[in-house]
Order: sequence, then C-alpha cells, then structure tokens
Amino acid sequence: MNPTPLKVDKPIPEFLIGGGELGQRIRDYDWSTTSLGPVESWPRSLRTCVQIMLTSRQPIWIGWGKELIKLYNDPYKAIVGGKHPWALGKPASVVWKDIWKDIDPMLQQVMYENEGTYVEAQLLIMERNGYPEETYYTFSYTPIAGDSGSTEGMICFNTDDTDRIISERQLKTLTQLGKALTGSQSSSEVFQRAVNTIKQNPYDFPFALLYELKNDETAHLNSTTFETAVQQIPLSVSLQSADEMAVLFASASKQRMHQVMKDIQLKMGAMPSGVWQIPPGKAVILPISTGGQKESYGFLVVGLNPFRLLDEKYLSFFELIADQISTSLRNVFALEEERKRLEALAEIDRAKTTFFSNISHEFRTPLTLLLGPMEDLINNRELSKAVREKADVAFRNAQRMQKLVTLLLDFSRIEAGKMEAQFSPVDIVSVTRDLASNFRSAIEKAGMQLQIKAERIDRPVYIDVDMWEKIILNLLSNAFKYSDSGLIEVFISKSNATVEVAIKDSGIGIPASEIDKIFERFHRVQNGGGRSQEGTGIGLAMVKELVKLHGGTITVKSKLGEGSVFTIALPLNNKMSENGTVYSLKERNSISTAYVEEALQWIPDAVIDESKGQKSDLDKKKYTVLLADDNADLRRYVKRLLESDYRVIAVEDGEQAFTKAIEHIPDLILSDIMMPNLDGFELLKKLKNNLSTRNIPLIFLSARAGEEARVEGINAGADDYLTKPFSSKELLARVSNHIAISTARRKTEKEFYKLFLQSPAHIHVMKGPEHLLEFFHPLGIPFTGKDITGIKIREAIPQMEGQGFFELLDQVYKEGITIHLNESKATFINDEGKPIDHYFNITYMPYLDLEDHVQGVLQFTIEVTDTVELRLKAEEQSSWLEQQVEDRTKALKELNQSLKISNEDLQQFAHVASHDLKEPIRKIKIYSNRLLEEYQQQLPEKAISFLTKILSATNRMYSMVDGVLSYSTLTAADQPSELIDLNEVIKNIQADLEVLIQEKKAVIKSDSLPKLEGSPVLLYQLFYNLINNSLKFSKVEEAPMIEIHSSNIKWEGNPFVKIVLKDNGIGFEQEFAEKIFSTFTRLNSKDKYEGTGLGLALCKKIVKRHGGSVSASAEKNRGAEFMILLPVK
Amino acid sequence: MAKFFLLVDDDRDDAELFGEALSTIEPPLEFLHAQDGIMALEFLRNPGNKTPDLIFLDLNMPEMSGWQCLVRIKNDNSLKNASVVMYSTSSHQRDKELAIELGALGFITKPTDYKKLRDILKRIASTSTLELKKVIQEF
Repeated sequence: MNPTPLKVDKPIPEFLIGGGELGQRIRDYDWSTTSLGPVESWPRSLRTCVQIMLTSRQPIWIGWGKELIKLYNDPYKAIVGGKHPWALGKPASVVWKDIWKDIDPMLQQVMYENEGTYVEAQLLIMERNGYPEETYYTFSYTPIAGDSGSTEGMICFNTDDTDRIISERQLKTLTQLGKALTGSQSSSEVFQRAVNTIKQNPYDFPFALLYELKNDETAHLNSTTFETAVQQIPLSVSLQSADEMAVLFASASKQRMHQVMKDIQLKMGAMPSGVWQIPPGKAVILPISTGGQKESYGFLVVGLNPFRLLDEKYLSFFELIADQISTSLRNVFALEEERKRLEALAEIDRAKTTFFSNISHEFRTPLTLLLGPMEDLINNRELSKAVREKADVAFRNAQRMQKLVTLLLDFSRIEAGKMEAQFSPVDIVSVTRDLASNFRSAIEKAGMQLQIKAERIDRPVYIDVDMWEKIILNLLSNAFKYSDSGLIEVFISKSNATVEVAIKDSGIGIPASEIDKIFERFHRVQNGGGRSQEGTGIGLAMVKELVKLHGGTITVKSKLGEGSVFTIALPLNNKMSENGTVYSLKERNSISTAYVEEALQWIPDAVIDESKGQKSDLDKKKYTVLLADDNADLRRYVKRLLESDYRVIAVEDGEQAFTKAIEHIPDLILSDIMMPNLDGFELLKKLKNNLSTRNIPLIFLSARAGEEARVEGINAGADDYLTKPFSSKELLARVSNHIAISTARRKTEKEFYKLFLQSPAHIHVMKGPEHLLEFFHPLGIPFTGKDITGIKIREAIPQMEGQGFFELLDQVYKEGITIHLNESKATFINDEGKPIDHYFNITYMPYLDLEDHVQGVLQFTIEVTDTVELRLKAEEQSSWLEQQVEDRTKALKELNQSLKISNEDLQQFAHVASHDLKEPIRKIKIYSNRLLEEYQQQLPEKAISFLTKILSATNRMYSMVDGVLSYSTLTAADQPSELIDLNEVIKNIQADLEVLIQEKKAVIKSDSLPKLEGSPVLLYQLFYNLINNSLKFSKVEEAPMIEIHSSNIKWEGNPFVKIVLKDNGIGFEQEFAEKIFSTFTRLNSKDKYEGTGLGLALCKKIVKRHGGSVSASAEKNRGAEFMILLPVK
Repeated sequence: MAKFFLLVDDDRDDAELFGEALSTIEPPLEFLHAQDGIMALEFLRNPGNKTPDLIFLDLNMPEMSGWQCLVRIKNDNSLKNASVVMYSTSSHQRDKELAIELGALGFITKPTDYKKLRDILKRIASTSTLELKKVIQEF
C-alpha cells in the first residue's frame, strides 16, 4: 500500500499521496509538534491545497496559521535551496529571515486583508545556496480560508525568474555595447563608448575600470564608470612591478585568462556598489586581447556583484564584453593602419614628383652652361670641320637631354596640378598641319611618307597651343620612332560635337597585352623594337594628361606588326574660351627643333644670326653690369660673355649685390632668383626702395620657366626675365637693349621730374597695377601728411579708401582711358584730426611703355576748394539769385587773385618748360630718326621696331607738352591784337596741312570771310585745330569735305560774326556736344584716332578770350558742325 | 670765299649735329663752335679772327644767356654789324619778336628732324647776306 509511515498506526490520508520527496517528508513529519496540529485536524481547505501542492510541478509553498508554518513541494526545493529540509514545518519568518522585510508586508496584506498579491520578477536577495544571492521571483500569495471561513493560511505559487532576468539584462548590455562600439574612429572612442554602455548596467557592473596597455609595459587607466577619483585606484600599472594588480594584469595578459582580485575594499578603498547595498568584495580582471602579436590592448576590471557567484555563465558574459571591446579596438587600429598606408602612398607619390622636378631643375643650370658654349663652338668658323662635327654631336645630345628634362618637368608640373592651360581659338587644321610639317623632311629622308588628310572644319577649336604642340609632336615622334618604312598619316575630321585628330603609322605596332598600359606613367613596352630604345616612358602619359586638360580623350588601336592609330577626340564646345597668350616664337622653335632633331640627325638653323652691329652703338661708352648668381660656373660664363663690351661686377648673393649696387650704381643688374642671404625678389624690393637704385634696370635669370614665373618677376618690378638655359646671343641682345632704353629714359625722366617740381599743379606719377608712387609732388604733402614716394598708393594713404579715387586709378590702369574729374571732393584729416573736405580738378592719364601697354598713371591735380566751397555756400542762401551774383563777384575777385598768382606761376612754368622740356624730347627724336634713316641696313628688325616706337612715343610727348603749354599760356593777358583777314588765315592753314590734305584727298571750301580783330596766333590756332580735327576724324570710305560759311548777326545788340565749319566725318553723339570742349576729353580710343584731347579745349579758350563763343552739333557718323561767334569791334 | 658760321651753344650734341649737317653742304663751309657767350665774345673781339658770316646764338646757356650775348654784341661798336640769328628750342612768338627787337636777324627754332636742319642750313648757306633776314623769317 503506502510507504512505511513514521506513525505506524495511522493510515495515509489521500491528499498526502505522492508528492515525491516532500510528500514523504510531510507524511513522515510529526505535525502535532507544530501549531498545525496532527494531520487529521487539518481543515479541509488546507488539505486541498496540500494536495494541489503535492501534485503540482510548479514550486509552491503553503504557509498556515499565524506563524505561517511552511509546507512546500519538490519543485520548491530549488528555491529553498540549502534550507531544505529543515525549512519544512518551520514558520515562514524563520525560514525567510533573509527576505522577511520584503515579503512580510505582502503576507500581512494577504492574511489580514484577505487580498492576494502578485509580484513579477521581484528582486530578492535570498540565501538559497549558503550565500546571499541576487534572485528574481514572480510569485503570488493567495489567502486560503479555513473551515471558519476566515483566512487561515496562504498559498504561494513561485516562478524563478532569476535566470531570465539576468540573461535579459546581460543580453541587453551586450547588444548595446555592440551598437555603441560601431563606428568608433579611435581607441579612445572605443574605451569611452564601452564604459558608457557598461555604466548603464550597474547590476552586473557595480563599477568598471578600463586600462589601456601602452608599449606592452604600462597599463594606464583610461576610463571609469564613476566620477569620483579614488586615490587607491592606481592610475598606471607597470606590468613589471610586483604589485598585486600588476601581477594579475601580467598574468591575465600572458595567459589570456581572467584573474580575480579579492578584498578590494582593502586594496582599492571605498568603491561604488552600483545598485547593491554593499560594495563589491571581488573584482574580475579581463584581458582585452588583440588576437595577435601584441599582448593585450588593455584590461577591463569589473567590481563583481556581491550577490552573484562568478560561475562559468557569469564569466562567459564578461568575456563576451571583453571580446567586443577587443574586436572594436582591432577594427579601429586596422582602419588607422589603412589610413596610414594610404597617406604613405600619397606621400611617396608626391615625393617622386618633387624628386623629378628637383632633378630637372638641377639639370637646367649645367645644361645652360653646356648648350651655350657648344653653340658657340659649332658656329666658330675658325675651328676645323672635324672639331665642329664633334661639337655638333655633343650639342645634339645636350639638346636631347634638354628635351627629356623639359618633358619630365612638364609632366611633374601637370601632376602637381600646376600646369594651367591657356586656351585660344585656332584653326585646328592649319595649326596641326604646320606642326606635322615639321616632321615632313625627317620622315621623307628616312624613306617614308607623310600624308595629312583634313576635313574642312569651320569653327575655331579652343586649344592651348603649346600643349597641342607637345601632343602632336610627341605622337608623331613615336610614329616615326616605331616605323621602319611606309606611311605616316594624320587625319583631322569632325563628327557631331567633337573634332578627331588621328595619327596612324604602319610600324611595329603594340602587342594586345600592352595596349591598356601604354598610357601609364613610366610604362615602357618590353623589347619594343623601334629606332631607338630611349624614352622615359612618360611621353604618352603626358600626352594623355594634356588631352585631358582639353576636356578630350585619347584612344589607341593597334595590331602587332601592322601599325597603330592614336586618336584624339576634342569636344568642340569646351567651356575654356579665354584668350591665350602667345608664346615667343623663339620658344616654340626650340621645342619643335628638339623633337625633330631627335628623329633626324640634322640641325636646322632655328636661331637667326643677329648682326654684330647692335653692339657698336654702345662701344663708345663703357657700361657697368652687376651680376648676382650663386653658381660660380654661371658667373664665369656670363662674365666672359659680357666682358668684351661691359664692365662686369660679379657677386654670389643678394646681400652683396645690393651693397655693390649702391656703391657702383651699375647700368644694369642681372640676378638669379634662388640665392642665399637675400634672394632675387628681396633684392629687387630693396633696390626699388632705395632712391639711388630705384631705376636701375634688372633682368632675372632663373631656372624657373613658365609664364607664371615670368609674370611674377615682372610684377615684382623686374624689367625682363630670362629662363635658363639661355643662348649667349639672347643674353647679349637683352642686356644691350635694356641699357639703351634705360639710359634714354633716365635722362628724359630726370628732366620731366625736375620740371614737375616747379609746377604749381600737383603732378604725381604712379607705376604698376598697385600704383606705386614713382614721383610724388611735394605740394601733395599737406594733404597726405608725408612724402609718399616709393609707396603703393593704398598703403600710403589708406585713410582715403572708400572715396573712389583708388578705384578710378584702377580703372585708368586697366582700361587705358583718361579720366577727368571736375571739382571732385576728397576728404583729408588735418593736423588736429578733423576731416576736412577739399575740392580738386583731377586728370588721370595712363602712360604707356614701348609696347603700348599701360605702365602706370599720371595724375594732374589742381585744388579748387575755395571756388567750390564758395559756390556751395551760395546755393544755401535763400535769395538765391542776388546772393549768387554777390558771391560770384566776390568769388571771382578772389579767384582772379589766386588765378593771377597761379597764372603767373604757370606762365613761368610754361616758359621754362617750353624750352627745357622740349629739349631732351627733341634730341631723342633727332637721333632716333637718324638711326632709322641712316643705319637702316644694319639694324635688325626688332631694333627698327623699337626705334619706331620710341619715335612715336616721343612725338606724342612732344605734342602733349605743346598742347599743355599752349593751353596754359593762353591765360596771359598780353596777347597782341590786330586786324586779321580770316581768308589769309585759312589759306595759311591749308598750306601747312598740305600733306595731310593731299593724303586724304580733302576739299576745303570757304566763303569770303570777314576781317576780325584779334590775336593772329590764337585765331590761327583756333581754325587750325578745327580743320585738323575735321581732317583727322574723317570717315574711312569718304574723302573729307569741309565747308566754312560766315554771316553777320546781332547778338544782344552787338554785331557778331557767325562762322560755321561743317564736315562730313564720323561726327559724334549730340549728348557729347558740350563735353568735347573739356580738357583731355577724347571720344574715341587713342589708337584709332590720335590726339591729346586738348585741341577743342584750346579752341574754346581762344574763342572765349576774344569775347565770343563756340558750340558744336553733330550726329554719329553724319559729320559735325562747329559754330563760332566772334565780336566785330 | 667760303662762308664761315659760328655757333654759340653749350649743348655738345646740338653742336655735333650742326657740324654734321654743315659738312654735307657744297661748297664746304667753315664752322666754329663756342661753348658759351663769354668764349664767343672773346673770339669775336679778337681782331685777328675772321668775322663770321652768320652767328647762331642759343638762348639757354650758363653764365651768359643768349639774349645777354646778343645785347653785348649789338652794343659793341666793333661787332654791332655782325649778323646774328637766335637759334633755340623755344617756338614762342614773344621770343621771335624779341629777337628782332634786339637786333638779331630772326629766330630759328631748333628743328626736331635732322634732315630739316640740313635743309635750313643749306638754304641759309646759299642765300646772300641781303636776303638773309627775309629767308630766316620764313623758318
């Protein structure tokens, strides 16, 4: 029947059947010793519950009676843990002493209020296994009524949620950590993010420390989950030391295993306890392994949850955490490695390009020293043919090297992005044809044929001419190199929006395997055959880059043994449409030459043999040339070149150059740019800042080639720029040219400036786009506060910014126009710091160099403040008219007075100027003319052109001076007056203008003109100017016809003669009818119609002097009509 | 008898030009150049020296200006009949008038063209003394 009961005489009640071990124990228990009493006395409800409990698989316990005597089942054993079996039959308060505070209130509720409770995942620190343990239970307390109907006990259904809760929590941490660590860019970020995530789980991580291991030796505390700095936590741990922590770290790292540190309260001091009531007693140390060679990245030190056992499960969680950190760190370092590698690669690339560029530079100077003397040797007829032939070989090879060096340099410039294309529209067919023709004779000499087939291409194509040349010559050179015989063809065609230029040869072709790589830098086809093995492998790569700069593409088709076709496709409407600069013919010649020579072995005479005659001009006087270059060979070479004609002083750096310049005031300075102590630019600056050396012409000699280097030099103030290698002839020509120009200029300038100083008007001379004051009139000092000679205008008087004057200067410089300002206001600060308004009549005039480029701006200024201020004041008065008259009279009186003074000054000035100014101008004219006429045969073209320009500039100067002087002298009151027959005047004018009249086939018709009283000279001048203008401004297609009519009229009761002069010239817009009589006003551009802009102003003045008036009316392109009224006395 | 011109001018270049231009004329003339008025007067006052057929007098000279020199010549009994023409860069009407007022034959503006100078000198060289004044006024 049933198992043997302890109490033999009692049968087993049915509700106690089964229930496993607990069933047995309950059956065996002597319940009479408890408040429950013997089993038979148990109330029905209790019995039922016990039966339920014993048959259930769920952990259940029953507490009965006031003491809540405990009964429980087998599944409940796990919960009760080590308290089994003594817990059975004991009061709950005894059994659950550890959590009584948690559950008592609930039990009270159940027992006394008859309300069930239900708690989910309640944290209970429970001693199940001999130590207080973090547990989570979901349980319910349900009251059980006894027989009486009132609650006598309770039943508790339990679910152990501990594992679930803890697992969930740990999983959450792991997931969060994974997410947080993604995207870390650095190791410190990894540590920081790890710690931040760990911080969010204070259950498993009461505290955590992350140490970073550096140099495999010292672990540095990187981050912590808590704020307070606790001194006992070591900030750095040297793994060599004997400290416990160090030892543990070392072992953890070496064994790649966790270590446990006990009694951390003692060792580390008061540490945070996370959510727990007591702080951790132990800490686990986990190595963050690298998975590779290094020991560890660092260590994770976790203060352990005091209520959990560090079992395998728990440990594996920590290891997972450590692993995640470790992986993340590995990724970060890998990323850094990758980045470093890319950076290193880029660095290597850059270094290579710089290296090539440097090498090429280095080659240039010795090349200069080679090529120059070589050339001289070849041309020296005194040497034997044999010797010259040998020199020839050497020369050609030097040229070949030069070509390679240039190629390398160009390429490195492209690579460095420094090569900028300058586009100009060209006829692509003729340009390409010309280039290709360079090769014709070479090709034909080799027994091959060159054919150029081109379609008609009507539109201009935008290319950089120099780059295009390099492209075509390179491709042709290749075609030639790799063909023995046959045909080389150049095709130019158009399709849709592209132009195609193809170069085809019937040579050895390119193997299919190499075709892809043919455009790669430094790639050379193995055993390529061809006429020469030479080549850097850069040619095609450079061609490709150059084509790319044009927005085009290049492709190749080839068959081994049959030949290749290289096709360039250029888009027809590339946006690059700026006007390009034209490179000197000489440069282009030498590029083609180098290419062709390599193909053939033949020297074309690309260099024009300049006559020796040029130097003879300077033979009379010995000039001094100062040479600065740190290369001793170059100094010797240049010195030797120049010695026969000049006195040469050679120095090796900029500092010495400056000292010698001051000492000797040479006639020309030749300077290298790269020099120690003071480089070329700094030397130039110093020279410009010094009054005595300011005007010495300076030519830069430099290895830096290219337009930008040249422009930089010229902008800094150099007069010329020579690139090494330069030919001896070129150097000599430029030196003598610049000395000649400078000498002539200096003399004239000196005269001009001397006179300017005597002028009562301020005349300032500014040079360059930034308006550097070459000459500042002392009369300007009261306004500017100081002498600003030698300073750029914006730097000199920055306080004047914003008043518009600087912008006008810019405009005049940029556009080459003359600007005249009437009564323009300028505000200056006076000595007391107060801003005062002044009024000026200002004229800004551009002045040009020999090539008609604007060199600077001339400023003529007369102060008219008094006049203007008076007038302004007048306009404020209420009785306008009266006040006007009153003030005008007063002002006129005052003006008269000041005008009288300035008049007299002007007179004086004019008189002196008339002589002294014209004198040097005259000389220049005479001698230039003589040179042109008497020495024409011996002069090279360029010299003739120079002289012509000098002459025309001198003429302009002359007429300007004349005009200015005439204009100013007109104020003189003492002009003689007599009765003049105007007919005579016109006749004389016609005689004087005979040449021009004949040239233009002009016809001048005039009525019978009356006799007038006036100044013969002035009236002559008046009509001369008008007639001259009409002749000048005639239409191109029509012969000028001038008609002069006169009639008598009465004006304001007085008899006047009205003379109308009409022409059929280009006329002008009526809106300008008044303006044209202003000084310096020109309606047409100077290069179309010459003139100073003073002619008509003069007319107006003359007429006014005679008490008359002049006006004009016209229509554009329909001639002009001038009406003059003169009184008849 | 060969004509003899005296040029008084401190500018060496102008003197050179003048001399060169003269040398192209046939028959050849005699030519002397004095650097300033003082030297010129010294030469003229020396009875042993030939009297020039025409004296060209520059205006702007150091020590003694052209006007001063002219006045001195015209005030000197032994020299006052000498033919003098003012020769200078200025083209001022005033100067032309002043020259005649002070007794010179006229005023020639230094030409800006060498050829023109040659022509002027050629013309003068072939003109008789009587016609000189008129011819000079034309220039």
